[in-house]
Amino acid sequence: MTKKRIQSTQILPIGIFVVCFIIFSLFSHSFLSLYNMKSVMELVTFVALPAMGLAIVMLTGYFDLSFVGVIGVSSVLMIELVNAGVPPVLVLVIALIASVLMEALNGFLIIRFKIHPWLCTIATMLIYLGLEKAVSKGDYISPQGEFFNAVRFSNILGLSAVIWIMIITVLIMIVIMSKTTLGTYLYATGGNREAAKKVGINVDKYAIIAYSTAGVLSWVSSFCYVSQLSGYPPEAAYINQLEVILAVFFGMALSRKGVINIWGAFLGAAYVGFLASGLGLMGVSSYWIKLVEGLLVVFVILGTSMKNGSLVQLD
Amino acid sequence: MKSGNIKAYVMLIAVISVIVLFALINRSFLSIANIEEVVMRVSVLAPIALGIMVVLIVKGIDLSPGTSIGLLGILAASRIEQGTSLAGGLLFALLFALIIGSLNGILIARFNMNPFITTLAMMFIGMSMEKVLTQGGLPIYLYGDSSGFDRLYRVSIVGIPLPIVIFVLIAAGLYILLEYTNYGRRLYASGMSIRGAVNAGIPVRKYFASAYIISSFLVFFSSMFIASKVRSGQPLVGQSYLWDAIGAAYLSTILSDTKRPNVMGTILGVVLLAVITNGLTMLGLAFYWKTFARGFLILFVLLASTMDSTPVWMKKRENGAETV
Amino acid sequence: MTEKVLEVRNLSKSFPGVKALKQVDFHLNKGEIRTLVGKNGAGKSTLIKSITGIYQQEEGQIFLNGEDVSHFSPEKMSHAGVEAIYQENDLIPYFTVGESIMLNSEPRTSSSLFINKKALYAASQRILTEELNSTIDPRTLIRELNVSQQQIVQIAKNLVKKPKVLIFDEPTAALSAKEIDNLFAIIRDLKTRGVSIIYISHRFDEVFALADSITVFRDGMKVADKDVRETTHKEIIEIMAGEDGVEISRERSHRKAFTEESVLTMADGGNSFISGISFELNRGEILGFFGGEGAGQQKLAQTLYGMLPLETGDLRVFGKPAVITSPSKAIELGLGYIPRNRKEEGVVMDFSIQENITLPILPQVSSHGFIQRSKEAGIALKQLQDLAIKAPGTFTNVRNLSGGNQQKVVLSRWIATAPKILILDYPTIGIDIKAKSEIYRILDRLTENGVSIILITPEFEEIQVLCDRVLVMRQGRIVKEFASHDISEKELLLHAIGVSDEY
Repeated sequence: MTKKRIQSTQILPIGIFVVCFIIFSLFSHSFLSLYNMKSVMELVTFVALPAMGLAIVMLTGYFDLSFVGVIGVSSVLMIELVNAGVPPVLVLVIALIASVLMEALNGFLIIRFKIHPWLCTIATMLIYLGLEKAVSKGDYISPQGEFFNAVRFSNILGLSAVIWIMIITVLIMIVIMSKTTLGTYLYATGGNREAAKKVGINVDKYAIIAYSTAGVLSWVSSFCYVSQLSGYPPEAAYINQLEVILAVFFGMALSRKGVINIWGAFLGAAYVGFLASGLGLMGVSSYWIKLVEGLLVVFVILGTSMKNGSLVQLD
Repeated sequence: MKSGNIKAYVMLIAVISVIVLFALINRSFLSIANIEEVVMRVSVLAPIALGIMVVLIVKGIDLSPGTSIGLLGILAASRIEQGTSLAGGLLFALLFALIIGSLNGILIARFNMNPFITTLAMMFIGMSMEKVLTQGGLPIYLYGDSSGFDRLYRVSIVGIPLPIVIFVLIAAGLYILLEYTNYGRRLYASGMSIRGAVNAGIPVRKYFASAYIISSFLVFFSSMFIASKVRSGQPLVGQSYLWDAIGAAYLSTILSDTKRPNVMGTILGVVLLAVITNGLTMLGLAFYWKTFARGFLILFVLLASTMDSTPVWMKKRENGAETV
Repeated sequence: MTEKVLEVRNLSKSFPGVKALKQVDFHLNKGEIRTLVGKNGAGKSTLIKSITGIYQQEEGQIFLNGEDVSHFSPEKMSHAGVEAIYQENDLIPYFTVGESIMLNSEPRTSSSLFINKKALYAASQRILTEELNSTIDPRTLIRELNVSQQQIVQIAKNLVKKPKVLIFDEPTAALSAKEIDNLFAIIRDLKTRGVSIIYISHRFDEVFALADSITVFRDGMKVADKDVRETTHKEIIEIMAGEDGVEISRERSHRKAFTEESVLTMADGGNSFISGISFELNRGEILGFFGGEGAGQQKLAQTLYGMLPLETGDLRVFGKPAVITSPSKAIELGLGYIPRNRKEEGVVMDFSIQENITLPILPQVSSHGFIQRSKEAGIALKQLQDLAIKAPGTFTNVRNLSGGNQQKVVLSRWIATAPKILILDYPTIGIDIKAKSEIYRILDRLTENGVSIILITPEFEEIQVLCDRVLVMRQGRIVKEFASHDISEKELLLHAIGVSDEY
């Protein structure tokens, strides 16, 4: 009977997290301040939301690098449409449709033409990034009007809107993944595709659903970007790509079952955010922080590869 | 290579038509200066593409050139800026290239890590190292420097620019290595049938790792020429070269009957991509269209290469006599 | 009044080069436990896969309770009530037992949006406790269960759909005696609840303890249906073996009495797959290894060739102690291994004939690392002629060769290494008769030149024609040795299966 025992594999990541936390709070008295916590959480949303999308795609057995492009297109689309006078609700709807279609295209290409997920999403990433810049002309564009401003400076129960959006999204995703058949079938498709087919699950349909869900999450993410930053710096999401990937893998290391999951992706994103913040407060330059993150990715994967054998077979 | 030959001719026709198309749009496309420009770009891009092709032979991929191109340039430039001789700077960069290649090789071949993720992570690590070394992205300029670094790109041997000479040497050398030596034979065997190669007594892990070392080694050459061309160590130059190189390497598999990555096909791919890139610039299109076009090209190459067979990636068990 | 729940008429199924099922008639009565027995390759597993829809037959029909299900896909057959349980289960390690059992049949909440977890675990609990008498907690993760428990979960999974026919394919391979008893209790219980059962096994004590009836297969045909109470172990083996005693005047080249010189000796060798292996291989001899699936012959071969470690015992090659840690080491010592899986391990697909042949001996056809194509072609051409390989030339891609010719390429590769010891694993599977006899002749010639051969094969005829001695293996051990003139198929099977004389 398995009670919620902490597995041996979880000790290391949890341990590192605790140790870091202690070091950071000792080093800088502002680390533990409410203000710092809140601003870190606001930054965490940029990583957590795409990480959840990537997590869903990965646990279904696929991969996605293109989400940075989808977020980019969705963001600049929102900005341009708002500036063109389109009513906000319509703007959001259009951006949502665009995001879902872009991601679903990945699913379609991979299933229908049997292209390798890595290569396909690298290609679509380039296409979408190019599209993003075509719309923004490479500039840091900003939305006019009150709508996004209102979101940015809102204050509900002491937390800004984006944090609430993140929390609500996390909760919804967790409920979907653990309590609905959708979640179970996505896991089943990723766990043993042939077995899932045998039981009658339409694995192709669920692959497309997984990608489309990533599209929705990219859309939410782009909304947060545009609101918080009052605009969209060119390739902003691309800059955070490493953190998103790290968050997902970290979440897997943290999970009891050793599986990629939503809650883990969120925790991973939070961890990355706090790590970056803490190191920053200690005076470490952002480039070193990225270096550390890159090394962490290698180590986490190394650890899981050695335990399980190859994560994702190339051939 | 029967049908492969036909496809090669088709490709050749495609290249020629693209050239004609661009020439029609903009007269100066066919000017001597522009042709030189294209040839130089081919010479600089080809080693990278050939490196990726070698890794493709063992069913892997190398994304690290995305930053190692810039990183190696920065390393060489920083050494030279601080007074090291040209040879010293180059040697330093070469050493680093081999370290990167070895790391990739060990992680992937010895520890069974996924090549995509590993080289992607290396790329990210490289990106941050670039930023650290250049204090935030400022190129390391080498104006009026006496080491002769900037001459690398511009010097000629018997009238032929050095980059072209090196490219031809590398291409020829690689071709001979792969087609005519024991190493090449065993490398192909390791990639095409890992269990068959094991059965024949080949130490496949070593061969897998060596592919990544070769890739980084070849990147070194291109990286030096690129840095020399702009007379500086530039961070983030690598990206566009990387995608073109991947496209070219995959293109070579389309041209082979048995989907073997090969030198000739890769070079043809490089030519095509260099021509297209150059043409797009000539057309005066904004820079972002190039990223766009690259993505489409890679997608197209991918679609074409998986068109006529079940992909290696999603093979089903075949019903065979062995399961009676 | 025995009603037939499943009926198969005139079923035939072929694969390239081999006719696996020849006009088979088979039936399963309602509420009975029927076992399928037969040698390896007799057609049992092909029949099962045809019934469950994995294979489509060329001729013949299948009826389930009178309904024609001849061309149903696996999903449809499962839906119709026919389920099979194989040795490899399809459970997902990180799912819980309950989730696995109820996959795609999850109970929903009233709003039908969510899974009713309580109901899910209650339902799976019920199946486990009431139908299978098991104490497994449905909240356990699959990967925390042992093999026998996973099997029970697999069965539970199949029971959710309330099947009419359940098929078990060698289910007791990895089970302990107690677990086997448990499984039998489950199966008997299933029978009382109206499920009809097909049970494939080569373990006769199990067969006779559990089954109501036995169907015997041989060479792709059904040869007998017997009621368990009206037959004996010996009789079944006789039927399995076929017409014995016929002194086949085989054209066995009178092998020059091989010298008593031992080229390879293993003493008490063992690892996780084999134990207590002791045998000697003499020069110029063909030593056969015979046994059922999983008896350990293949693992032994892989151990000799350095693919698996030898953990206990000694190995001597040509009198000197040898530690073989990798195939290249084995090749150095003069060994060669022709593996069972020709397409993935034997040849390098998409390499040409000459590229394949010279792969282990590249140093011999190259100078300073550069391959001399002409030398290579020369060697390949010689092999092509010696072994009568049918191909346009040495540049031909092996993918375009027939199975028999591909195998000859593999053989010629190893012959080109001038080996002293060759290990062959199921060398003629899927190969037509003509190529088979050509290969036999090649092997004979090799021994005349002093090569010693270890031959693993399930085909009695091959053993008769080729082997000087045979070692029978069962459950990772060598259980009996025969000299060639002494062999009868019946005896071989007896020892491979493990039937004692009492029956």
